Amino acid sequence: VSAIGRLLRRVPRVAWLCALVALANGLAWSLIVPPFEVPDENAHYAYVQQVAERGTLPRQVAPEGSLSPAEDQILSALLTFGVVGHRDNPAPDTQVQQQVIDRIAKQNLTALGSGDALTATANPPLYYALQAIPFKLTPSGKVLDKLQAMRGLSALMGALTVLLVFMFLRELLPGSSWAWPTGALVVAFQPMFGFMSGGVNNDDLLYLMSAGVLWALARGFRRGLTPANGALIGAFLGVGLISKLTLLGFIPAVALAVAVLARRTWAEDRRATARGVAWAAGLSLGPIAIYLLLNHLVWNRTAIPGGVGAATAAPGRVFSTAEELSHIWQLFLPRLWMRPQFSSYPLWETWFKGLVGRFGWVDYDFPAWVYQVARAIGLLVCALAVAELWRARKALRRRLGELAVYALAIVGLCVEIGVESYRSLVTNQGVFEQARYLLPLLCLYAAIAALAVRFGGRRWGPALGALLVVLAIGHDLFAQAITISRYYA
Amino acid sequence: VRLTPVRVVLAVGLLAIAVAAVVVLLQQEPRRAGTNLTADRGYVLALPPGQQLCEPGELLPGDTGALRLDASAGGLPGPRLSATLSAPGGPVSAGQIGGGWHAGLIVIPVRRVAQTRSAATVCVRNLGSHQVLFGGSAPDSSFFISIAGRPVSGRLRIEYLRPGRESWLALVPNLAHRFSLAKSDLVRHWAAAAALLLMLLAVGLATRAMLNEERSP
Repeated sequence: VSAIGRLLRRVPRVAWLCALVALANGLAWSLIVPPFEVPDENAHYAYVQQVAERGTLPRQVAPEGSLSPAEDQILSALLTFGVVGHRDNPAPDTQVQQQVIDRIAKQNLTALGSGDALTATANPPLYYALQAIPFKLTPSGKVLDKLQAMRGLSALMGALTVLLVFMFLRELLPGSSWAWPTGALVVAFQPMFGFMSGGVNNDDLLYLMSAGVLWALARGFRRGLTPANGALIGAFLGVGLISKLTLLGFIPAVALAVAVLARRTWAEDRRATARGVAWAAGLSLGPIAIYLLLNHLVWNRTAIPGGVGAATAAPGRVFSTAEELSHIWQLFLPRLWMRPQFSSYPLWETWFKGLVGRFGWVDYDFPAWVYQVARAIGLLVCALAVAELWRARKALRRRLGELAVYALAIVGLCVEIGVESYRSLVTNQGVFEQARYLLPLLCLYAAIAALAVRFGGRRWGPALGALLVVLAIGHDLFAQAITISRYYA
Repeated sequence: VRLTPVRVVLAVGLLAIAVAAVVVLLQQEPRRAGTNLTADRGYVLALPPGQQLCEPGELLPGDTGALRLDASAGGLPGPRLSATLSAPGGPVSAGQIGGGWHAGLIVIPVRRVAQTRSAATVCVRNLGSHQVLFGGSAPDSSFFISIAGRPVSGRLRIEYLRPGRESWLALVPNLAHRFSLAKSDLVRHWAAAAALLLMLLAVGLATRAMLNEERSP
């Protein structure tokens, strides 16, 4: 405890300020977005409900079971599925509809359902176990009260994510303290991140743990693979894996990082290096191993439900490794000679436009011109970041191993998303990919902003940083304005 | 106060955001009072000339001053249409649109409906000499409307508009009210104010963080 206290005391005050910004922004989003309008929020709520009310994990029920009378009735009263996916339909906006909601809330309907949590059923349990705390602590039995309290915890996770982003930049660019808040604040005001932080979704814990992994890796590269740093790397990865299996995509990067770091310090202190590696490996693998065992022995679920492994193809479809590789490539890169797998260009339509902003259940977005402006700004910021890398190429040459690790984290995550996307396509013809799946890379998003600012040097860098932060604020406020217009106007 | 580049950028940038917000708030447009949450899946409901389409079970929002429908006369100039709105107590409002409209969203002005009415019926009569197609959902297992007196599985998409054109600024009290609906009792009565204050706090703290770091090495 005292070590954690010492660690926390070493966190700069400005890092806490950035985290508070993210907390305020996340809480604002939690109030702006109507209940259950964050993707799959009904399913994630149902998972928490199952954990809190029955003390067990959800299971697939065929045909799709009810979530619980309490949740189902509220979803119906909120006209949720008349609003979700229909950008022209606002949230309930008359007193008559409110009276229906009040009437249902007063019925004290049971929160025990079939045990199904729809799309969330296959997820690991950590996020839901944490969310069971606000669920249980909320004194009223009302679904909407519990949901709001849970959204508060998600916003707190968003704040801690930004804190870790700041700490990552501090390790990455130790000589440029004025660039750290720029990167952290650009993340704090990232509208898609704010939107997700204001909702109940296990992605929120995934973002926190991913930022933790990248911070721990950057710390390892700067301070060496001590047992403590090894433990940090392992703990964030291990806990992250039982938050959401998407973090499997980081495993190659972490393995490479540990190998590079171990090679560096092996000659100096074999014992400490070995302990660092052991902590990293043990804490990475321990939680997931326990999860697998519990799945098998206690919860009676398949090894990694819905995570990895074979799935049954829909009639008329077959799994093809060549097609899968092509699918993953085309999901992120230009198509080249391959047979087209997408009707649009995913790099632009899904990832760029999605990250700039596509909200709700991916059912409303900015006017088209915003994406064009964002592209120009994005290209300029990336150009400045590349110019800074070129200027610092001597130092960069010494840190090529570290750079390779971050590149591998991007590749690993993209491959993981691509595999899931292909599985979804082949098994149920569904579109899986959404821009929010890239937010585990928030640290690197912040690093691009910080590098761009660093290019301005000590003289112009802070002003450039202020400009980026103002743009991020404007972007976030604009996103909130279209959200208010979408649901309330 | 010493003018530094960071302070100038922050001041000018935040001022620009504030000005943009004011410009948007002052824009005058027709504003929505509500919708019937029906998807517009194309021109799926045909109303023959001289006939009437009636849609029961509507929640007619207060402050309705017009109906917005998606309609097409198949490439011809649209005929005259009349609308009547009734609730269990009797007729509530009526209005009409003259002929000559083009395919797409059309607006039929009606007398202002002051109070929200449940279980209302909206009827649209085709006063012209050729068929009109309306946007909506059909077939729709949950709903039946009547066209020329016969039941039809489907539902017309209706958007209820407030009277005239209004700025966002004029609409703020309504937005605040709508913001207070369908939310947790823990937050619903102060959610709008809290969201505003939280964003002011976020911007204030971010400004402070940037000014703090301006002085760092």
